[in-house]
Amino acid sequence: MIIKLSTFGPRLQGKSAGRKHFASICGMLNSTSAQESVFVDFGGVESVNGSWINMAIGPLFRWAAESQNDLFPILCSFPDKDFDELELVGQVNQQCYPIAPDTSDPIHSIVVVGPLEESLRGTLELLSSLKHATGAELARQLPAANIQPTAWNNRLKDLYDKRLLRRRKEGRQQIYFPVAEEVRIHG
Amino acid sequence: MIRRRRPIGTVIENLATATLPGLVEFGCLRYGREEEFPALPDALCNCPLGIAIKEVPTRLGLRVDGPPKVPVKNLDTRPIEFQLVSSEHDLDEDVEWLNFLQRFERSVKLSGFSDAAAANLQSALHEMAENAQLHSQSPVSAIVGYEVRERAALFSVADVGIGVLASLRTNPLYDAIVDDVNAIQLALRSGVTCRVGEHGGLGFNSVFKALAEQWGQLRFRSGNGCITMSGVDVEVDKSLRHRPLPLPGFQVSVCCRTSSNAASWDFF
Repeated sequence: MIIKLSTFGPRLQGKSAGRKHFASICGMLNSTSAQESVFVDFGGVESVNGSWINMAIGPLFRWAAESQNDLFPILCSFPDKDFDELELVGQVNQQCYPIAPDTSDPIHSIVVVGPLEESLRGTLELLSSLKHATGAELARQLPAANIQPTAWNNRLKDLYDKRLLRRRKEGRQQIYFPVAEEVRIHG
Repeated sequence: MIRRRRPIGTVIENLATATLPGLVEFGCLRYGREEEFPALPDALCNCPLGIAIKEVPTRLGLRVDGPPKVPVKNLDTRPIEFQLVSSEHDLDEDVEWLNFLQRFERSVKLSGFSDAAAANLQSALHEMAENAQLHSQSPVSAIVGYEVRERAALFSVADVGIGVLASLRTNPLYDAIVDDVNAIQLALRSGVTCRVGEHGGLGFNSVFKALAEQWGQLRFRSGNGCITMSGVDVEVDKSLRHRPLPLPGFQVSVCCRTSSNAASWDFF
């Protein structure tokens, strides 16, 4: 599913507009199925400010992570000059936003913008190089780290809740994998 | 030698010039106290600033009664313009407001600012107007005005609502704040909002962004608190705190110049 934000206008600014646009986006996502990628396309948008992001994109990521929705939003063609606004909102909301250069699916690469604590950052980088893993596999492969499978699973689950990892169930195991082949963490 | 202060009425009656922020702040000061403070003299009412503010009927300006502002359909640049923002307006869908914003941005560009700087200033003006609309609980519409000169632009947004202190204190997180100047300083920080349980408080960031790499002057007034900043890349931590005459509501004034040499214009 691709949401073309330029249909809302070339400038995305203000709290009220953000709130309204969030509601419109949720309406557009009525027909999506669980686990689907949602490309939030900023192509054609000249500028976007923090208040708008805070009212539209922040709630969208929270809403997408709810179990009944279970969607994976990916921001695309985000205006470079407004990266600082996105980072600021990420700090305020303690959220991370994956940004892809375009709406190609499968997603080749993303940049993650927003605060990510050291342990989660390391886990995401690890998953990016391993391509997929379970908590138990990580504990086996990295005995020197002295991290129990449960602790690895908690980290993986946190990254899943942040919509940076996907997962599939095989038997009794949850296998986690990144939302894109290549993951780079901004900053 | 003891110098006697002139009565305020005499001072006002003899005023020959005013700045835009001074004019709207005076309107807020006089709101509900019309008997205490005389109306501004004819010289001020008939200067370009006075003529522009008389386009909008408001108790915060120079014309209380009469027809509303004649809708301006074109997007031609204007050196000075005022607009009212009421809580009933949906700013994002109000054509009058959107045209006003576009005229401001075009005027700013024409005065010598880059496209990006003009867009940032327009965004800051919109944010401040929306703040007044959403948080002020003002009994009358907030007044928004801009003035543009060569390589300099300023805007003011003023309301006579509950003010920053009372607004912030509606959030239990901030109910220990008792001082207007501290309340303003806190409100200027990212992430501080009166809305309980909400993440927000990012509006002022657009003001600071608008002033990035520009020579700016800012003034925020509420109650008996006033915060001013000036220089290049202004920051909250480098602000000056004052306690002037109390004013109801909240008044924001932002002046931006393309360089420190541009238009010797000091509204403080």
